[in-house]
Amino acid sequence: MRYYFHLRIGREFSPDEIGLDLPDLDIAYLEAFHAARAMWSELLAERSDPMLRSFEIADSDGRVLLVLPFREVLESARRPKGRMPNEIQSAYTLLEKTRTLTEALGEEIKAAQAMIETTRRSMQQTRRVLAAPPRAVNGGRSGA
Amino acid sequence: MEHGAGALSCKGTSLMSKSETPAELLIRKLESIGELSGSQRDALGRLEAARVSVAPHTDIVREGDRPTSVTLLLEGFCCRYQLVADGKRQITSFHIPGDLPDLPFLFLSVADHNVCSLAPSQVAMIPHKAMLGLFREQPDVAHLFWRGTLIDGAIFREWMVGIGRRSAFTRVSHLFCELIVRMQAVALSSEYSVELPLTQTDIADALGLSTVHVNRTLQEIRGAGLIELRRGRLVALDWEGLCEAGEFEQTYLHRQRTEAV
Repeated sequence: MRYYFHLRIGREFSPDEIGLDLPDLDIAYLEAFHAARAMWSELLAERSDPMLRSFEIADSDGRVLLVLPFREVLESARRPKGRMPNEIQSAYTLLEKTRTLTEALGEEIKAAQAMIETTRRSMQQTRRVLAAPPRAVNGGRSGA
Repeated sequence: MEHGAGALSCKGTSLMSKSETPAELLIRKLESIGELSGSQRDALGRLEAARVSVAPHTDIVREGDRPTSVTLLLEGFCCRYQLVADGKRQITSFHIPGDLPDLPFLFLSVADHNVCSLAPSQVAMIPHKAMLGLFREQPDVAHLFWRGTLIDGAIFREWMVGIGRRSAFTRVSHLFCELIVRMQAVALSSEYSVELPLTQTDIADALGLSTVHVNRTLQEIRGAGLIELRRGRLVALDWEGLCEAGEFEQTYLHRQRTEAV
C-alpha cells in the first residue's frame, strides 16, 4: 500500500509527491510519528514552531486517512509510562468512555426504575384511595 | 533473506554480458584511485573469478561467516549492514560496481557484519588464494587495494560526522553527492545523472532517519530545485547547490583523476 505524507504548516500545504510503500496504516502512523519526533528537535534548533505542523496521511486516491498533529509527540510524552500509539490510545479512550457512559447510564436506569417504582406505588395508593368509599373527604357527611 | 548456495546461482567463469570483463572493471576502479603499470594490469587480468547472479535483498556475507573469496560487484547495488537488538537495520556503507565490499575478510577471518544486495546484482567471486597470489606477485597492486580500504575508512568517517552532526537535509544531500562522485569515478553516470536503485527505507537505514523523515527531506531537496528523482534515477539539477546543501567536499574520496568531473 502506498501512503502519502502531506505536511501542513499553519495555512501552508506541502504535498508529498513521492509517497512510501508501507504494509498498513498502523505502520504509516508510527513512521510519521517517528519522523515528527525527530523533526521536533530540528525545528526547534531553527526556531520554527513544530506545534503548527501536522502530517496528513493519504492514500493514492488522495483520501486523507489520518491526521497527525506534531503536538501529539508532546502529548505522548505527557502520558503516563507505556506510551501508546494514537489508535490504541484512542481505542482505550473510547473503551473507557463507553465504560463510564454505561455506568452513568446504569445509574440513570436505576434512578429511573426507582422513580417508576415510586410512581407505581403512589398510583397504587391513589387507586386504593379512589376505590375506597369516600369517608372524610367531605367533612364526615355521608351519602353520594 | 536468502543465503547460501541456493541464493547465489553460480554461472561459472563466463564473460560479462557487457563487453567488459570483471578484471577490466576492477582495473578501472583501481585506476580511479591510483596508477597501474602494464604488467600490473596483466596480473589483474589473470585473476580467476566466478561470475554469480544475486537476487535483490540477498545476503552475500553474513555475520559470523568465514569467507574464502572476495566479491567484486559487477552490476547492481550492495550494502554493508548490522542489526541492532530490536531488529532495526543500520546500513554502514553502500557499494557500487567496482567495489569489493567483503575485502576486509581477506585478512579478518570472521565476518563482523553482513553484506547484502539491494538490487538485482552481478558479482565476481575471486578466491582469497588468487588475491594473495596477486599481492605476492605485485606488491604495488596490494598497496592500491590498501589505499582503497583507507578511502573506505574515510567514507565511514564522513558518514559518522553526518549522522552525528548534520541535519537530515544535509545528510541526504551529502549522500547523493557522494554516490554521484563515486559513480562518476567508475563511469557509471552521465553528467550528474545516476541510476539509484535505493528505496527511501534504505536511505533511512543508512542515515539513521525514519522513512517519513527521508520522504519529507527528499521533497525539500527537490523543492529547492537541487535534484530530480525519476524512476530510480537521481539527477542533480544544480550540482554546486547540492554540494553546498550537503556540505560536500570530495577530498575524502581521494580520486586520482578529478578532472573527469
